Amino acid sequence: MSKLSLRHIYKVYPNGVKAVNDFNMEIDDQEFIVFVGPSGCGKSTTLRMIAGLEEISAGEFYIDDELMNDIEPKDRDIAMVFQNYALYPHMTVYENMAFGLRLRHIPQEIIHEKVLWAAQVLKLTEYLDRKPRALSGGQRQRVALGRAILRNPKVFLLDEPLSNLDAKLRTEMRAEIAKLHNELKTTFIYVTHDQVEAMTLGTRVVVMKSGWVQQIDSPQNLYEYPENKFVAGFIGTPQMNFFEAKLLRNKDMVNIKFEYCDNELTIPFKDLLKVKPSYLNGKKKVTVGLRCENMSLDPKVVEASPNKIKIKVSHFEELGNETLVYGDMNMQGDGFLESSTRVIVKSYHGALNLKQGDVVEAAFDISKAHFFDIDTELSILPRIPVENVFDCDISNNEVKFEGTTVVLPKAFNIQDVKEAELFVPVKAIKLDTASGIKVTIDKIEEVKGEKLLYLNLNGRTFFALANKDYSVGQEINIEFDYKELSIKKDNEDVQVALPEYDHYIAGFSNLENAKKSVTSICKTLDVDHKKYEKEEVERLETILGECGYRDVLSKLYKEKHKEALEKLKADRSYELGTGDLSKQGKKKIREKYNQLIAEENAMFNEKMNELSVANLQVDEERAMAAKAEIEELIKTHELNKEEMKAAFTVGANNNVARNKEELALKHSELQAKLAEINNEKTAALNEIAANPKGLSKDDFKVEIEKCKATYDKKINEAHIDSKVFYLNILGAHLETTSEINLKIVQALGIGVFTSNYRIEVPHDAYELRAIESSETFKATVVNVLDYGNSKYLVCRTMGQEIYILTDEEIAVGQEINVAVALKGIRIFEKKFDIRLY
Amino acid sequence: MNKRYNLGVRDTKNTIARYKRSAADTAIYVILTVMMVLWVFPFVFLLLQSIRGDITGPSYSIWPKDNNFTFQKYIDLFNPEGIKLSDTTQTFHFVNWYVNTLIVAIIVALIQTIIVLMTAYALSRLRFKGRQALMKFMLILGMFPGFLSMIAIYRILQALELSTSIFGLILVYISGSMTGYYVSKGFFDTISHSLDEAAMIDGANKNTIFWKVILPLSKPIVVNTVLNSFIGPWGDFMMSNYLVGRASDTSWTVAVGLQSWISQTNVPYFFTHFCAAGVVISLPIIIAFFFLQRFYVEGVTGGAVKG
Repeated sequence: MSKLSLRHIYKVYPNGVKAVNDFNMEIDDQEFIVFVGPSGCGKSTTLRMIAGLEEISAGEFYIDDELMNDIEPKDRDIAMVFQNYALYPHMTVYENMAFGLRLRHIPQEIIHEKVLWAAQVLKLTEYLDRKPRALSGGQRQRVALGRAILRNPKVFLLDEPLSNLDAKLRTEMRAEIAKLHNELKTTFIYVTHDQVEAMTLGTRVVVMKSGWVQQIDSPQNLYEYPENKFVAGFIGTPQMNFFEAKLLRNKDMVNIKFEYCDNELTIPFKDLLKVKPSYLNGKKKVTVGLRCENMSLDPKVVEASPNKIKIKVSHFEELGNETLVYGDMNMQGDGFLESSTRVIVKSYHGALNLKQGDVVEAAFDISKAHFFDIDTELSILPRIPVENVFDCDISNNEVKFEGTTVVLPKAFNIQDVKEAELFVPVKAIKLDTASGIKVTIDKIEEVKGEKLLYLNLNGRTFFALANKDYSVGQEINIEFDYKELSIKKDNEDVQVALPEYDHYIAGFSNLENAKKSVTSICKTLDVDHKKYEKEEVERLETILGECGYRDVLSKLYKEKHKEALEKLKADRSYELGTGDLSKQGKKKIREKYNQLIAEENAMFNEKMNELSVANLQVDEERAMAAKAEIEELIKTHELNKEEMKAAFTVGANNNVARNKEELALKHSELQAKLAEINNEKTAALNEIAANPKGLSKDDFKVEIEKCKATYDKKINEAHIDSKVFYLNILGAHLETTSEINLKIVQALGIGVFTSNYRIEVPHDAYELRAIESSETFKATVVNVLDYGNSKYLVCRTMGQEIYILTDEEIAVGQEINVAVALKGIRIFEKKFDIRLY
Repeated sequence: MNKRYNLGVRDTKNTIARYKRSAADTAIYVILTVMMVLWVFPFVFLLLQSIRGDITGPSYSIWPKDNNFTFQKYIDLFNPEGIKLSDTTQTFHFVNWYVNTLIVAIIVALIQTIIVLMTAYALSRLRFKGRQALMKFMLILGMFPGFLSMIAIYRILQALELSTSIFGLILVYISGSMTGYYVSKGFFDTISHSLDEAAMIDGANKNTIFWKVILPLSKPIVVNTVLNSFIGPWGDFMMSNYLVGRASDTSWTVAVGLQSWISQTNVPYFFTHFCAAGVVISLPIIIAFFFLQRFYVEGVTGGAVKG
């Protein structure tokens, strides 16, 4: 059994480059995991971190619940196959395979037996006496595999093992690796940039891009339900066709209007139930993805299909049994370059008689299409939707939607609005409650081990997640978790959902250097304040411009003009730098940009003229108000900053005074413990030395080493145990748990006390204390949010608003002492944005 | 007609080119032959002087009178009693010098090779703070001639009471050896790091990787380093004269001893012995070269590919 667990793994190089970001994965026994992605995506780095060849910058890596971060590669019980085989050139095949076992002092007979077994499995028996240079590439790779399998490791790591082989051998070796996985029944982790290998070998595939995991899923699911455009484009050859389009819902049908051409299709709305309504209003562009096998040029299919698209054929790629037809939906497009109208269709060549430049009709199987947001590139048709959106009207603190009326809790103290949108996260729907809204279950879908219910409320379908069994057609009551609901009107917030976490700036200190950590925090606060000030001043300038101040406005125009020119120049150099352009082509581009620049200049001059001539009405009143308001904001921010600084300093000073005694105590405790461990160690070593019989010389050495290692580990633990670390939140010093200590120290080493942290605290992690102590900070209650089933105190402290979940009755205006429980908090390193805990 | 004419032209061109080429070749060979004669002559002269029986001092004639050849000088050299000619008062123990030098050179060659290769391996494979600075520092340090530190070395060895012993000499030769890491580091850099990594996963520590994986792959550079470290002390005169030269003649090295034979008082009696000793001294290096030259050339170029 071997289970791997990677939790929040980061790789940050000293120059600040993040090669791997927040890698999270649980790998089960006997899984075949494939990391796939373009070069430089961090897949090899991740593998090397698993192997122990690369240090893990932050995060934890476990094999069978044992922390492996600082364990040497040889003690991790892994085997690795390298891209360039990494066989020892001076040893024979036999020696190469036996080397690892020899180093582990395994008896010669067993080594011999194992080598012969591995050689037999991999058909290498007749080459055992040869040196690697006398072998072909495929044989060498088999030796590398042999070297790995005969140690019988818990985990097999393969780093692009097939990329140095030719196409035919690659297919053969692929089958061989699949066979090995079947026979050995261990966990395999395989890195490749070849999506065919990934799809054919993996039980689960991890798609990565620039250090981020894009999707972890089975090959089938990656193909059928890509979570974003990158995965959709990366998996499958030839690449998925991407088009830009606008969606417009018309009752039961949704009209897809493709951009840059006249083509239009319709798709039943029931296929797009999970899409947010804001995408279906015909205004927002989306990316439509359709694989080439879901299109057809076959006249029979085209005739029968309701979804026809006109394509101009540009060229063909013959693959023998089939032909890829390249074309363009835009009759002016050329179909060679990748564009948002280029189409690749798989077709059977014999059946069609196409020529370049022909305009043909293709049938689109639009039910197989994928839809992505054009900016975020995320799928807008996720398997589990995030939230449901309803049109609603609100009056008298009652919300009316889909023919139902719900009384909102007291916390919603909002004015009456009409035609607003109610956002209900899927997770915020509580099922099977005693009272509430009555709905029917239309359909139940199992997705990734979760049950997604299609609920029907007066003809409108929406979604909820269930944790027990329901049957289709059943009628149940549902209720909302009100604190997660939000309401918007014309994209402006009417009511926002309660944020999941409160954010704090914080630092770590130990007994010795509480003050030093505070200096560092204060510096960050200053930097943050400067940033805030700059943003606010910019905002003020915009407002002043709007109010009609000539000088401000001209300054704004000038800045905008400068920006526009720079952008144009950058675009020009980019276009000139791409591809092999003829002189003519370059001239054309230059002319185009010269014209654009001239236009921009003309526009700017016109505006400036307008400005000098126009009789601008200065809205003095508004300008003064805005100025006063923003100045006030900056001042408050600064005051809050100073208050925070003071709180941190006072807290640190208090702690320093307290620490002296504690430090001495801890020190003496540590000394006692170390002495005890050392005594035990001597005793254990003596015991081994006294009974050397039955142990060979090597075994004896191993035994001694093992014993030493155990006690060294204990000594190390004692040292860490003796350290007291404090988490410093707004001057309150909380003693951290050893778990957090380990993680922080392990992640950042000695840099712990000079870095700054962002702490996220969930609302239920607060404790209200009657007396003030070094573990609390002060906050003033400004409001109470009553959500019916739960009650939150809105408190203000040092310019920050925090929400505390409590049952206690506390009046508004009262000052309370707040302590933070460390359970459930999240810790981020601020500079690199690394999640540590 | 036209065609033939053309052919004729091409033929003439070809002939001229051929003549030109062979003339150039001849010129080169003549120059090389002259150079070879100039270069080989001293060795031939040395060999002939060492086996002439007619005189013992230096002479302008190459060939002995009456073809009087003898190997007596070689026999004298290896006389365990030492060489004592009737005309001189001193006894010289060439065998001792030879053995002393051999001991120094072999020990230095072994230890220096290990130090150089280990330094090179560490600098090539381990990443530690100040690595670049250390490399530059060592390179610059190695550029200073050793005799700059003579007085300091003398004081240190005097304190250790090794100032006239061959072990002191060994210490001096070895102490600066790590500065010669450069060529071997270049060679190690060309060995793929994935071999180290594979060995690490196989269970090897840095030590095992060095001895069992990297060294067997670095035969050329090992041979190169051994030969270089052997030749250094084998022919060194300055340091050995400065240190062991002040002791009795039994603890001298060959360089010190031979120098005494061509001093003004001794040269009339020992010149031919000097020549014979010269031949004997070159033997170990010649033998080593014969066996190892294949590796040696590989080593010099192998490391040079990537610096």
